[in-house]
Amino acid sequence: MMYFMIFLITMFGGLSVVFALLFGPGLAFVIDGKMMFLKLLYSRLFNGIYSPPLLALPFFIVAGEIMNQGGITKNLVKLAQAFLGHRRGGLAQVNIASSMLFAGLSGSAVADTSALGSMLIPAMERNGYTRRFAAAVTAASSVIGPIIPPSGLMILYAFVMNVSVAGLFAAGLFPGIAIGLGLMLLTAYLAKVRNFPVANEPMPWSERGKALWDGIIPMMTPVIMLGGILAGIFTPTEAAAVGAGYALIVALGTRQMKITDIPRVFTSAAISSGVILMLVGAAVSFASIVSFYHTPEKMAKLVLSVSENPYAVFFMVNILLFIVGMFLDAGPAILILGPILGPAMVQVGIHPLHFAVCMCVNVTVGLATPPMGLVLFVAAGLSGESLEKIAIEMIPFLLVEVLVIFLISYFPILTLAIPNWLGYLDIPAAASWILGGVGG
Amino acid sequence: METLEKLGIILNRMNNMVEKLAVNLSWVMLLAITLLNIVQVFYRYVLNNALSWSEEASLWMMVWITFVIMPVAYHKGLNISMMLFRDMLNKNRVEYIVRCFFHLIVIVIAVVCFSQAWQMYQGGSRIELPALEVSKAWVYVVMPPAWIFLILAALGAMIRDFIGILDPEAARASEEIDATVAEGGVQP
Repeated sequence: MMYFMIFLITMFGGLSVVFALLFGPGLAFVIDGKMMFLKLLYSRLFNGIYSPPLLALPFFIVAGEIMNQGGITKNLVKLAQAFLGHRRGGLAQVNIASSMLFAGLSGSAVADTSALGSMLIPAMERNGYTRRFAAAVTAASSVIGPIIPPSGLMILYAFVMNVSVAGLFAAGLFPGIAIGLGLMLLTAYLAKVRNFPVANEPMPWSERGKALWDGIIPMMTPVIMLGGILAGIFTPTEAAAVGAGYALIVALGTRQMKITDIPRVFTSAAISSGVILMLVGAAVSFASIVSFYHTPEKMAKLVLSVSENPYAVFFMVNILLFIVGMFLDAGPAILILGPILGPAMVQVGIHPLHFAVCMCVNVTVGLATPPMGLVLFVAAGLSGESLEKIAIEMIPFLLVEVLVIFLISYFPILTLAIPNWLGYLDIPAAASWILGGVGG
Repeated sequence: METLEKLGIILNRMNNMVEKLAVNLSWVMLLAITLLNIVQVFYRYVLNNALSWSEEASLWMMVWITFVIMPVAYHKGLNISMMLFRDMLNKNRVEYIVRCFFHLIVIVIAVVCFSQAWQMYQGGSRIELPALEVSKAWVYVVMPPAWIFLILAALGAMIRDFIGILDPEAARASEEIDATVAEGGVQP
């Protein structure tokens, strides 16, 4: 486990995760006198990048970048406002609903916070909400981004752990919607208790129809991508490419993007893709060393030595992931811990797809928790409110998210029913699983 | 100190040039593979005649984008890092020492990876991409220069942080100016 210690020390010290992933195993090989394995490390790095299933990732990023253009965000907010703005606490509800709509387009919590927050935090403040509440609701709801498919995070997990992308997307639908609805229910309750304002008068149906029409064109992007994959028409790569193409046509056609914006949008997507793909390559290289040293088996033994009860094991792992999520970004957390915890949890009797979705949701919620919550930083930056005040205001929202994590952990049917219905699970195993609870 | 500063400026200029080239190359390639895959879908579903070479070409460009961006990401500080410990040091002399140490680690990694990448490139000439019918060395060829550019980026950063060890106040001020300039983002 020396490689893991070196990795942890350098990563916590501040070395970029991508280099810590290479340095830990590399130095351990040098110390062990296994220099010839450096070649294996490098070839795994290359093969981790030169991999057909990963081709979908840059296209998802391109689609997200195009959809992040200001006009499309405005259309989504208008759509949510048309149907929810007249309720008490309407703008807060609009914020959450917009995050759910935005999730299908961008799949990024940070993009969600910055796109919606820059528009809705000032609007909520003008409408009589406290700045800290506006920032908290923006940050809390933006974690839905990587949970409701399509999701770049899930593609990463599916790639490193060899589970079905389509199955994982299908499994992500319930937790994403459950978190959204849970946050909306809580907001409705808070609106009553705190007497939040109403944003606008109920809109006439003609205006609602127009908002729906304006919103539905960009909303077709996730429908094409997700529908194409789940219906078996497209491979994830094709679906992502078609989605990116459609997004580009919509953005250019509706004049929310000009031809001259293409270099800027694609540059941003290329940089994000390059950074993530190199991280994936390093993580694949690291994962091969993880199995080389039999770390998952050791981890499973360690976990089982504490308890053999799958419920207790899942509880401990959830706590561990939540703590990790507080310090580490969701992508690296999945790339580092997926190969270690995934096989260990399967040994305990947890279904791979079930653990995959629980892990994705858990580390994503970590994006909104201090001290290293990326979306919290963005929300604080946008609102000008201190991190601590937003974090305190966020506690009830976080509790809802934690509740969903435990619900999906202990009731696998909630996440596995849709993939099972769509045929992504082998039915006898899934059925016994669903009937048998966590342990299967 | 003056010599170091001059060397730092030269390296910074070189890294900026590499960045400009890399950024332009990468967005063009990303646009190309996006269009290529859309065309591929059209050929497969409409013309019922899938392009056999599109996946190989896309993977080729994806590898290129990744390695071309690698030194840019380092130069711009875009890689994901855990800054909790470093932030606690609050840009004092110890932080600059830690930073220099990490740049050194990156240089060592880059040197080892360069040697592996070079071997891979040489071996690649014996492998052919079946659909494109070109040598796989064309895929590998981006890697050795990418690691060299990473060494240059790390060296530039190391010199800047070494100056920080000698004079933390000046380094802090210069970083603040850099941060203000960088707020405009990476432009193509």
